[in-house]
Amino acid sequence: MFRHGRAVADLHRAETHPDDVVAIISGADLDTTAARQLRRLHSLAEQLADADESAVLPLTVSSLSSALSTDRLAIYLVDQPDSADLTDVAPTAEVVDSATRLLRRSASLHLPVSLASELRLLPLDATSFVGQAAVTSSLVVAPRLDERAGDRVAEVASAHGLAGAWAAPIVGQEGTLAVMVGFHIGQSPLQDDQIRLLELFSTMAGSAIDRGRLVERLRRRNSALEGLRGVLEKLAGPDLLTSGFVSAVDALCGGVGSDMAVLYVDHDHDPNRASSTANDGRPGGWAARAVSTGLVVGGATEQQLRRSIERDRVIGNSAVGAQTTVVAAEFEWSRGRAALVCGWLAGAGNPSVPFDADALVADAANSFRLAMEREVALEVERASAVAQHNRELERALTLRLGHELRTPLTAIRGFASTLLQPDVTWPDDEQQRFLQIIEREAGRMARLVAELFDETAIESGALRLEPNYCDLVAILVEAASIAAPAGAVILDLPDACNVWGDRDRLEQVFVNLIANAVRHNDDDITVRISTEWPLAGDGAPATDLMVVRVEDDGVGMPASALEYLNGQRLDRPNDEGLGLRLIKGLVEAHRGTVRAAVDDGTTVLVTLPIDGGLDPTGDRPV
Amino acid sequence: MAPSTPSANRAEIARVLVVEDDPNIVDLIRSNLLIRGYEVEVSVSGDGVPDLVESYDPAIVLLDLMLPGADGFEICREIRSRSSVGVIVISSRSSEPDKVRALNLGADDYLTKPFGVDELLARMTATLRRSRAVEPAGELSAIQLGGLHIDLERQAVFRDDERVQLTPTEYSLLQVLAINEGRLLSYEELLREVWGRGYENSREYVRVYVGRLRSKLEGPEGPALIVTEPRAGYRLVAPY
Repeated sequence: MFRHGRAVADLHRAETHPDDVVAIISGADLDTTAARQLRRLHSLAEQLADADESAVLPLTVSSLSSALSTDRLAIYLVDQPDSADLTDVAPTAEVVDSATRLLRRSASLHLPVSLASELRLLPLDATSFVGQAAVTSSLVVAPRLDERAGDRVAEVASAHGLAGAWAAPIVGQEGTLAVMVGFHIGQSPLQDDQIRLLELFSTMAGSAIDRGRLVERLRRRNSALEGLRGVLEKLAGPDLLTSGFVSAVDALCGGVGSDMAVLYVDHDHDPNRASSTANDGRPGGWAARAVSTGLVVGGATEQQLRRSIERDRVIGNSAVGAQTTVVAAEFEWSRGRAALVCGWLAGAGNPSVPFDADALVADAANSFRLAMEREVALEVERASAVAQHNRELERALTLRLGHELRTPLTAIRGFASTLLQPDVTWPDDEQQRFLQIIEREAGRMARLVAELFDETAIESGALRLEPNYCDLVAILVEAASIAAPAGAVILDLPDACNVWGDRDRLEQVFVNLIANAVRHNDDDITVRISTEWPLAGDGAPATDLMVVRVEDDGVGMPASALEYLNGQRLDRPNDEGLGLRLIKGLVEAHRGTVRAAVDDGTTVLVTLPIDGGLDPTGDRPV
Repeated sequence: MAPSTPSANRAEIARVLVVEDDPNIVDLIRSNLLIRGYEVEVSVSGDGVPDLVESYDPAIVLLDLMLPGADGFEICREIRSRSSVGVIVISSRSSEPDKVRALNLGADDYLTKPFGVDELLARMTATLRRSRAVEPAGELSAIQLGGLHIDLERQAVFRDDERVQLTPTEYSLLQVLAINEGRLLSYEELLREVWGRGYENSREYVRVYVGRLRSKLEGPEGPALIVTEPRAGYRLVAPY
């Protein structure tokens, strides 16, 4: 640098402040106070950057004090009042409202104690020079405090013998964060270089406070993740995969501040499922129950994400898409692979991705893995409970079957051996009667055994229907003639139409229903059979279903049989013969339903789909 | 009511109570018993059966275990708590636990459906034989074993001078063991002596009835009266 043709200084561009240039040109010594303070300030900035958050404010105050050679300083943070504050600031009515924000003295240096405590809270408005600085986000200089009538801060400070003051706002990303206030005894207004220093300082302090708040957010986020882990570890309800994981993924999203979070589950390494996932764009298998939240606007990102997961099979720690930052953690669990993916949309106003996002997501993935393994364990436990229950039902069934088969067999064997006894000669009519019982009971046994086979076929899936369009009227007439004596059944079938079904099997259903009514009631029983169209949801008759109503005026079906037919109990009730299970099984094989009620006698409603129920090829196992 | 004592009168026309709900089986049993001179009463449900046993005073009850709305085991227990009548359970449950449970509750015998008439008649005869007079044991009129007194003539058992109520089957078993005091009796010997022909493979009858005798005669703290010889049989030892 030259002045009047003479080299006066040797400067590095990067290290030179414009003030230095001005000073040199005006002939001042380069090492001015301002320059010294500027250098201090640079070192202070470095200190602030490394400082622990709790030390930021006191450090700022003491650095500011030394940098500005001002020894009476305070920093006020913009804050919400709490209940204890309201009484403190009672004289100033403006801050009594809890919604109002105020200025809270957070650090001070060399202020008289009484002054500091009196000015602990200040209203955030223009009634004081401090509030004014906060509201306007600009420096306010008050060289003569005694001239600021009505300004409470000025009055209090003046009463403590202070002559002048200034208030400099600290402005962060969200507006004014705090106000720095300096007091001086003499009336020495701020110099230009001091003002610039203050501006610099406030910028620096603003970023320091912003940084402190960011750290705090991060800390909260971590604790949210901790909470999430706890939630996940405890999540072990029966519907974990549906609702439990949704809320857990939601919590994760909130915890890491991401815009989306997806849990992908690839079930059992099933390649077919994986490929179907790729084709229809919907996750398959367990992945169908994968949950996502806050899905990316535009959709493409999730799509891309899924494709990359499926194509590459392995996800790196993180990947950056065109619009989104994605962090994914893949993990193995006992049923295959899974991946937990979080995405952050790029764009203004979005908080940046946490610096430790990889670790956070990996941690969350581990929690999900634990929860999923727990789910598997529970599933196994439930399955074994179901199996145990089935075994018990099976045992009870075997016992009853034994009883039902042994009863006619006892009659057959008993009467046969009766006729064979050498010590008794039976009259002819008695012999005839015994033989008739043997004949009848043998028929009953044959029927029981046949029904047992049919039931087993239904339950094992081996029963095949041979459906065709069949005449419901013909079926009902035939069934009535087989199962009941002439005149016992009244048929009222104006609505009956053809239905698509297995003629013989449908006949079997109605033969059993009618026979049950006849067998369990007196001889004068009347069974009335009618057909009707059921009412659909809108009150109009449904055209795809046909209801056959079988009513009798007998004693009524036992409650256990009703419950079984209505699906309220799984085990077959102890009825005479095996009819109920067969009736229910065959109707359900036709995709129909059975409902029964007892009022004056028994009413059974058999609802059959007219044509939709069965595969037209007729070749489908039931 | 005191346990009914077998009487010569009842031996001539034995009354039988049939508790069974299946009409064909009732028909079968009634036809066969009536033609052989038994008197038959039928109950198609379990309701009031113990009362009926008291009022009708049958020699034998044929009891179906699976009755509508009643637990056959419970009926068996109730009958036995009030009477020493011979009880033959007729059941379609053929499992060993069911059989042992019925015997434990006091049934004298257990017949599984389906059965032949000859089998039914044989079991009834055996049960009736036990409830009639047991063969007098030679010259003996009484046996004294420590505090246990068996009056062979009156077929009564006293423990420390107190009458112990035994069913006919229990008494028969005790008498056989007591007469052969100190001697090991095999399952087969006991079955043949007490139950008769056709029971050779029913060791559980012996086990159950020895258990019933022990519970009635030994008391919780008392010395063993009937000693088990594992896999061989039982022996009665006189308490000192």
